[in-house]
Amino acid sequence: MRIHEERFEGAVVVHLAGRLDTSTAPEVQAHLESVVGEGVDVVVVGLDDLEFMSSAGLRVLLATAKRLRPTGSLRLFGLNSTVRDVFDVSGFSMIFPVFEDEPAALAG
Amino acid sequence: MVRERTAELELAIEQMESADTIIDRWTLDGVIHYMNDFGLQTLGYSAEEVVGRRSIYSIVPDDPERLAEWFAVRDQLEANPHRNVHSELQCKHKDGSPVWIAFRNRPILDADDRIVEVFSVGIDITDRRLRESRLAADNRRMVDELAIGREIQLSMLPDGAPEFPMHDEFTVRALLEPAREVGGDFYDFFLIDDRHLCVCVGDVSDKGVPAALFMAVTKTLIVSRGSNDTCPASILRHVNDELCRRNDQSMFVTIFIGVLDTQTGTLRFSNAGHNPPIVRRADGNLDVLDPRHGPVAGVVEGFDYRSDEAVLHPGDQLVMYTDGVTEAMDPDNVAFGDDRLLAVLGGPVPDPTTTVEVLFDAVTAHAGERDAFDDVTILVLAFHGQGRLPSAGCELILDHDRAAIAGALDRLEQWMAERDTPDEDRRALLTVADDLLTNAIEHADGSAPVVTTLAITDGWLEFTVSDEGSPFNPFEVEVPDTDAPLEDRRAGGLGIHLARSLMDRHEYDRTSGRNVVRVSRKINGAGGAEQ
Repeated sequence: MRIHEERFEGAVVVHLAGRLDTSTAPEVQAHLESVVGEGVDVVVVGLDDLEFMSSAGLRVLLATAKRLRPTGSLRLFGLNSTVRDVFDVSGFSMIFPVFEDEPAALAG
Repeated sequence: MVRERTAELELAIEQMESADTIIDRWTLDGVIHYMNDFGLQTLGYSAEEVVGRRSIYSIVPDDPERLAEWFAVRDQLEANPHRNVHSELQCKHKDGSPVWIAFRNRPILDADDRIVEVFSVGIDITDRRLRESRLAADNRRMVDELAIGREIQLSMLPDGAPEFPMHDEFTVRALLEPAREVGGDFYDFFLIDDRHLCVCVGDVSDKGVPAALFMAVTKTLIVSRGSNDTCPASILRHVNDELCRRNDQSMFVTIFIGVLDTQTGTLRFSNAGHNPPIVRRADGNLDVLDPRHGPVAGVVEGFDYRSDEAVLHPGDQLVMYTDGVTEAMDPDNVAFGDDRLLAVLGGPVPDPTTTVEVLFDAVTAHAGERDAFDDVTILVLAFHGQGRLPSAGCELILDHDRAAIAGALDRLEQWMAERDTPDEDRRALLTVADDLLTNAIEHADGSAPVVTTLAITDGWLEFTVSDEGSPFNPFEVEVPDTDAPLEDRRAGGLGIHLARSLMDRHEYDRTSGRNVVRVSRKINGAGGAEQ
């Protein structure tokens, strides 16, 4: 798992590359928690280099989104077809705002 | 005058009787009339036991073959009484031991040319004959040993029509027709891993037992190095250095080593002074792999052999051979040669077995009545192409530890990549694999390992995970509410839900004390999201 961060005013973009699964979820969770802990309003997670996401990844996103409530929001972009399938069957595409690309996600 | 003559005669008789030669007179009926002292000593008899008796029958062994020899001498004397007859007869000492005597037999005739007596002078050649028969025995033993050596040598070669049940992307057919002597040809082929096939052909400079031993060493070096090295140049460098270090006999060996990537058809090869193999293209064209990468092996230590690359396309055949093919001579000393070789291999490409047979038959027909002077070796590697990849499964055994999952996913990913599994199917399988393996490791009690298998069967990716935990059917877990708003969302059960959704089939089985979860996905299907 490679994590790369971009900071904007009021928003942090976290790029995830590789697999988001049982083995890498703790690292990603720790990273996102520290970002949330800074009081950032908008956390954008970029998945365009993500290979796949298992339920461990979904749990990380769910926990992060819950911690951002009620003021902040978690936005996603760059889902490949497999991640999109995972989001669809788990209903996550209905609870997370999903965007085509990074500018769209930042614009909200 | 008369006195002098008598004295001369007496001297001659005295010399005769004391000579180191056997002298006797006998008649054709086998009666010995006279035998000198030396003859009597040689055969162990006294004069009384021999003279005046048909004693030839006690001197000649009572053995049909020996008797026939003596009758032959008698017949020759009768047939031509004016000539001396030479004979080497095996006689018998009184004590029964064999005595070999070389006789010169001279008939003494009467006025009517009838044989009155035969006058024989013989030399004891027993020592020589014993030496000869020991030599003959030694020779026989050596020939036997050579034959055994040859047999051992041939038994080191793999079967010429091997089965690779996991690999239908290639076929190997080989033949080694040994010359009479122990020769130095060899061939070999083996899988380096489940993707790379090593093929090699070689010919040791010499013949005989030393060549056979050198060949055995060479072949062993290639296999031991090749078992974990997919670079033919590096195998060759290693083999050459080892041979140079151990080579007291100044022997050398030509070697061609090729390593085929069975999935792409790429053949890397390195050639140490061996006859250039020929690629028989599916369209009937021929490509000679003529690059040579250095001298014969076993001569220049540290030589930096390089390699080249050729690509085999489906239907192509790589034909390797030794100089026993091109240098097979016809009765007029005309070699089979490269032109005949190319002529035989040109044209439509048959199956590899036929390629071997047709080439060998052509060489045999060329040689005609002539005995093969050298071993004839032919090895054909036919490449059938990608897409007929092994359906053999991948089995992994994981420690009961979440840390084992990442490595297992790497292996599964690589296994699928090697079989060109489409991205979407590969990612879906990995997603599900992560969840099912995590489930098994977290839920199963104890520390028994978790076993997982992956296979491709008839266009289906089939994945199983089994553990020794108490019976638990994950598919009975309640489907989480996927419509709930974020605040009400629970993380549990999502993994099994994904497995059910991303895969087309799922089942649970409890067998032999194990939970077995089996999921399958149709490759290139519509995607599992809808199911």
